[in-house]
Amino acid sequence: MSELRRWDYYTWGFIIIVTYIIIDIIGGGQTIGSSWTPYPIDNIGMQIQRLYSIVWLAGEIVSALFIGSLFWLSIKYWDREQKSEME
Amino acid sequence: MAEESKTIKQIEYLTIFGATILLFALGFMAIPLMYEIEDPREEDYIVKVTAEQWAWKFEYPNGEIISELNIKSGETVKLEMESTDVIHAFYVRDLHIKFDIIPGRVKEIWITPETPGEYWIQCAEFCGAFHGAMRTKMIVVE
Repeated sequence: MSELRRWDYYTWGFIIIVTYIIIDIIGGGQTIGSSWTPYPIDNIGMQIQRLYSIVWLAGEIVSALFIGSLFWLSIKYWDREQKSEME
Repeated sequence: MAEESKTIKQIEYLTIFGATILLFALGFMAIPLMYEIEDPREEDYIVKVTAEQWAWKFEYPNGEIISELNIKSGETVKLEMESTDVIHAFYVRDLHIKFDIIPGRVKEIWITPETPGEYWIQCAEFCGAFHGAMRTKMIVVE
């Protein structure tokens, strides 16, 4: 296992950011769709939705961290010398 | 190698403290709201809600019992909810609220819908064969 270089951290961060953008697009771009959470019709509902949006955003960030790191680890430590067992 | 292990440690601390701060911040924001939802407010009138397999009944102060909840926008209504058989849940998507109704207990909530329209009230606790059909409308008029 080789030491991490500056370039590795950059690619790691870049992959996490790209993963976050993809998750954000799939998740509706931080605007919770009216198909499953409609616009609240009272003040308390509004506050609940605000909190829910924060949880949503936090979930996106955490997911991007985990999934992005997984992608990066797969690419970084992929053993390219290993021959396919299918042959 | 020492430099790398230091960086990894820093990332670990950042993750642990970051997640802790995030969770506490969410808790601090959510807890007052949880109390506010159930906090008694001065109501304009009381509606008694009876949940039973598989229907909703709403009893108004004048003694009228109907199967829909009619409210004027901006009015604060206290709902006294009871179940006659099994556990049901009063769920209004547009109000972003969901409360269990447990047999033998009266659940009190206060709602102040402001936007006129028709909204679904759905039982959100599995209550038997026709649970999915146990829904009615909350009509908010101007």
